[in-house]
Amino acid sequence: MHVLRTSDSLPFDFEAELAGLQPQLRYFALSLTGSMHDAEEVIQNANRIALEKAGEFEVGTNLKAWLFKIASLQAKSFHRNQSRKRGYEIVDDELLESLSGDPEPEDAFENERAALLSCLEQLRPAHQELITSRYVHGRKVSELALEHEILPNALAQKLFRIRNRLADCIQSRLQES
Amino acid sequence: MKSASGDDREFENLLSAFSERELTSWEHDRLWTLLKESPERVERWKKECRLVGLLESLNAADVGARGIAMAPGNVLSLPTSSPVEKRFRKGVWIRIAAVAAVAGAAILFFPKPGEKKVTPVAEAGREVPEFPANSNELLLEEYERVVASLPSTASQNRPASPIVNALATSKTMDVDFNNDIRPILADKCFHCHGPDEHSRKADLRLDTEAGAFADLGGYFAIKPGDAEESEAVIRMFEEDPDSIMPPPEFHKPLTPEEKAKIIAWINSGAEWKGHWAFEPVAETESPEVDEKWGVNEIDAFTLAAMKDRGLTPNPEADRYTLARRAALDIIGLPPTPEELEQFLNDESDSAYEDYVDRLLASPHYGEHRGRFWLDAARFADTHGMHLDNYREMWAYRDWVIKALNANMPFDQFATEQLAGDLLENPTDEQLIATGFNRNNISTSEGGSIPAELAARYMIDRTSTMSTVFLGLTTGCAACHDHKYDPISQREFYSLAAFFNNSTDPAMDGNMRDHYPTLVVPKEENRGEWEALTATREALADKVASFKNGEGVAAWWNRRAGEAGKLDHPVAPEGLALYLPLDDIKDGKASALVYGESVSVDLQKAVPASDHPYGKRGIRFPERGGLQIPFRTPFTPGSEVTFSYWLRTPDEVTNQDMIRLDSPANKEKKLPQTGWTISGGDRGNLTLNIFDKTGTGIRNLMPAETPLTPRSWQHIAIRYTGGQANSSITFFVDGERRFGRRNTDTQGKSEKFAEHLPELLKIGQSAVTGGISDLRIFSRSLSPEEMSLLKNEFELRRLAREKPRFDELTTGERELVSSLYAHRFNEEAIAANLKWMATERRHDYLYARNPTTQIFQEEEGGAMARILIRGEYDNLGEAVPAATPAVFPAMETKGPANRLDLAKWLFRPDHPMTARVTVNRLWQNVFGTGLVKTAGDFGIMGEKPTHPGLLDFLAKRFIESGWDMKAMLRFMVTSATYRQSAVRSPAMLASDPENRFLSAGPRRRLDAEVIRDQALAVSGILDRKIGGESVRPYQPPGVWKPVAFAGSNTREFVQDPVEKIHRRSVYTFWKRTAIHPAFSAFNAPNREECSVVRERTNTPLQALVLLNDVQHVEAARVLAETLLKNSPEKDDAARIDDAFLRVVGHPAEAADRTDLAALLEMARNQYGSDIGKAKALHGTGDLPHDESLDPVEAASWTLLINALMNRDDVINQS
Repeated sequence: MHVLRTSDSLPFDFEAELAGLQPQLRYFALSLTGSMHDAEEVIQNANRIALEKAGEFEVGTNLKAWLFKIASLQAKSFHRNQSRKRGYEIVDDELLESLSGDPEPEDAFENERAALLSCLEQLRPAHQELITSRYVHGRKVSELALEHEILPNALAQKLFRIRNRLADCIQSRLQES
Repeated sequence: MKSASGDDREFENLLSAFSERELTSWEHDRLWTLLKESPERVERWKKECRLVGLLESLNAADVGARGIAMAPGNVLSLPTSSPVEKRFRKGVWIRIAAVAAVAGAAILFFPKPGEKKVTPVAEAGREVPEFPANSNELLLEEYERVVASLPSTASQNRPASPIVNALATSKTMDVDFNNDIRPILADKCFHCHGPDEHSRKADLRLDTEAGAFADLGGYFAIKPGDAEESEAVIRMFEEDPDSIMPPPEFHKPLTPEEKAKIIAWINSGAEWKGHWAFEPVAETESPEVDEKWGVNEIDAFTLAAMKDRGLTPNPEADRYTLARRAALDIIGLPPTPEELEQFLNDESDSAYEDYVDRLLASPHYGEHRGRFWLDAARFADTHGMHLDNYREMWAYRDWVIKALNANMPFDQFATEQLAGDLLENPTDEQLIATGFNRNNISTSEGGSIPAELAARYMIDRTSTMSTVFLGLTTGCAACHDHKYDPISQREFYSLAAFFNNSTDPAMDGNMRDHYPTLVVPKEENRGEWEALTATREALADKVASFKNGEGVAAWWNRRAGEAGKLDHPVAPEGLALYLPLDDIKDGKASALVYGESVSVDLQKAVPASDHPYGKRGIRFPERGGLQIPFRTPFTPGSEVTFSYWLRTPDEVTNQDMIRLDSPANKEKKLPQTGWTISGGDRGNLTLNIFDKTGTGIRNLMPAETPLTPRSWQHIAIRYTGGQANSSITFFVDGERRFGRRNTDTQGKSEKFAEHLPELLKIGQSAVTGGISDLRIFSRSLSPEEMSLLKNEFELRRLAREKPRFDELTTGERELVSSLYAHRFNEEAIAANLKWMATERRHDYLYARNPTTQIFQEEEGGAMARILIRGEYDNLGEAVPAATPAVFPAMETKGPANRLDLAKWLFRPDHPMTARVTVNRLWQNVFGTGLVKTAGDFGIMGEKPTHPGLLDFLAKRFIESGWDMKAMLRFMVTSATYRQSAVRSPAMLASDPENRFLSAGPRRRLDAEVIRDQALAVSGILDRKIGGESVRPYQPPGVWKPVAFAGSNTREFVQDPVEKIHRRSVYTFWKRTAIHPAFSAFNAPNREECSVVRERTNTPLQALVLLNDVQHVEAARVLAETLLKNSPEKDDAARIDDAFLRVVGHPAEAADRTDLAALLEMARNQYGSDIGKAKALHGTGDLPHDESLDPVEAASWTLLINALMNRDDVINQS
């Protein structure tokens, strides 16, 4: 035993597994909220609940599906609160359902990540640098726009176009294999 | 479906914006509405989010390892995890820590993620505000606002009549070139007017005397004595933005004070001086001071500097403080109660000096001092990139500890590490030392380009040597001439050339033992290993003696014809199958199977038409294959060698090129048995041997050195019968290729031969490809035999065309001699077979004994190509190994090598090595170096606070024969060191960092010392020296999130309790995820050389100290000891004991009161919750004493834990 923790009774490393799922949880929460800021809230809540309920998780079942389920419930309650504040319903349960989507193979994300890395290699160095500055180093568009001496909207467009290219490339890489 | 309707366009706009800024609430509403309308949009939306998620999951290490461009920064310094991972890991760590012990309450805390790093724009120091969460128009407004807020250099800092003011101010100034002027020029001018030839503007260089004072055609940049006639000054005050210097776009305007200083310097005659660090070390006498203070010369220097600043020395610290301070600095552990007692009771005049001498003689000295060196030498237990697999290197760490304990002179210490392999008859120890040059991070990631990696390793090795010995940041000069220091790009590559001549392959194979290595046998194997090595050497010598003997020429002259008609170029011992494929008739060919001739139906195969050695071989133009009844000689412990010519296919596909196999049971869904040799699209090869459990051993020849496409080549694969993957070796065209062993696991069963099918299949599932001359031997063949098989047809040609030995070239003679020894001379054949018979035992012992990576010089002189712009594939001129011109010239006999470099570094007139080394030592002892930038003595580095003292120490160090213990002793016995560290507010105000040393050193302890101290005071420290690295307690989930699948350091498995209380210097150092308690206290990740550790304060540190199971366990054990060993004592007496033990000096009244109150509180709290008390008492893997009252044990644990958190415990003072 390393330390006292809530999940000691679990025969596998719950926290490490959970930690490994964070990048995926992030995009999932983003797709349910449409906002980095709101996604953070959903992520925090989902993680908190996952850790609290770690004991209820059935080892051998799909942790990702379990975690995503928690996250969609969190997103649902997030949107309900939003609706209450605004006085009208924006995101209904049906839409959330379709956003939550179907389960996918466990290694899908890893494979896509590998494909992405090899697609990144195909980009022009200037584009590589832009992508890494923005997403790997987490620089802001406003800062990058200043450096590149273009308007932030134009830079966001440019990033979007590069992302589209990457998306196509990933698609074809995955079909190849 | 409407294409590109207005709605779709709007949706696309939202997609482009949502990840880059917060959408407005109106935009949000539109987003959801648009999504509701169309399932296609929902899919599109999910994909986009996913892509953003994928992008954000990347980390700099992934990206850097693939050579993907990143924003400027040191290419070798790779942050290792993505922001997402870091954030989460921190969260888990905090939470676990919080839950762990003391409070007992489950506090769930995830830090609300802060904003990602915002870098200041320009030196205004203002941060660019975040985007407003509004519309696009607002974005534009924001942008304009930010632009408008940028400092306008043209109009800033300008008084009413600037030049008049500056001239007036300058009259009152007394400036010195090195102190006042060069720093300004370096910071503001050298970028364009410095050593870098390529970016130099207007052909003006201000970093050399000749350049600065040059006649520029009737005018001068600097005209000594006449500032107003100096072009540099005129340009400083220009109004026109195109003329003013420095140019506004450079964003480094001169301040009025700087301008005045330059004027003052020019008007006073513009005296030019060389950069202090490049000047020879001066003979300095310690200054005369009238006060009676001080023990040795150090004190005269520091006192003089204090007096200059109106400071006075502090009184000497008390003995308790001195005892702890000196012990922590010399051995990194607090004194034991006995050591303390002895010192306190020693009434002699030399009590302190004697105490220091006892510490210097301790075997823990090397562990502590070695730790600093290991940071600089970037020693770690993993490769550092991609899989970040285990690297076996600890013998090097132990060498460092041992050398320091033996007080090896520093010049020898450095020489053995830089060039131990080049010493005459190097010992194993000297070879182990060369691991210094092998500690660089490395990778084996598929798709990496070996030339690029080799360049990076070379640059890292060069930068490390420069930082450690020259105190220079030469890394910049890898891409361009150094901007500030006189190191041109050409000179950088001349230095790099010393390290370019190495034999290690660029791809590390993800192996523990990246070639070249040295076996460091365990005690129980040492004798056998040495005997085996001796036997093998003798046998190899014997084969060689026949090869090089006189008989070869006579034999060839007489019997070349016979040699040309040979059936096999190697001894046919153990030939199990021979399928030459040179006699194809009617779709049939003949084979020899265990000596019997067999006819083989070629089925879909057709004769090959492009074999380099005539009409032989078959091709498979389409799917299909052939079968031969044949039982492969895989038996437990058997040895097998395959040899054949392979034609790689025309089309590159990801399917097998050609496949030899005998798999069975596949259809029946039983575990596969048999074996396969297959090759994939990247030109790799794999041999798999499956046992009856369906698992087995395999080795893959990686794509680093792939097979050549569309051509015939000779393949040989050898299996020496062990159960380790390393018992499989590949040879292509007679050259050994290094296999990849991701796991190096042992095969599970000894019985894989039991169900081997009795069939050989060729080509089965292969698409295309060809094969000829397949031989399968039931023995191992030596590398020379592999080469003979490859050259079978070449030998036949020689026999025909050059039947006289003297007609042969040197290479051909070598080949012919080898044939003689391996095929014609019975004695040599017998010796070779004997040698091969030891191969398996050799592999067996190798796989089971530690190795360590060493550095080995390639033949030929050390050269490097200049990499233009630092790009590995942009090769410039070739330069020989040489040292930079700014330093004394190097003396060599013949081409320079690393040994010459080492000798050069230790020339007594070298200005850098001694200064840089004593400064690092000073830094370790006093907290900050005399030169604060210990890794940069160049022009941009900080100047020494006590230049005379630095030179005095450097001289003394050289003259003592580079005696490290003596230098440390000299420093810690000075009165300067012995001062009390207590500082008044006035002292803090006048010298905030204590750079002028009017108080003794005080600083937070390093990560490892904090842990070791906890172990030591609680009595659980395991004082064993050396050995394999260990894995002590670590919070879960630290390794896995940063590790790739397939990494052998992905799953952290803690060592058993008897191994985990070793000193921290033995803790397993995984570069992409170092021990979290170490990183919380600023330990470097050891990805690159590090000579200065930062010291920051973060809340995580308190959480580590309060909750890390190691700290809690230590407190718990000490609590138990106090309770058990002195049952007669009362609380007050025990508090005194605990205090002295942990803090190192007696408790004061206030401490006693506080601690008694804490104890009372803890008893109440734990008394009302026995469960919590038991949990705390049970912390850690060491057994706890059930007979103790858990409430008492827990309460005392809490008390000691609190003591361990005291300021004067985690600090040295």
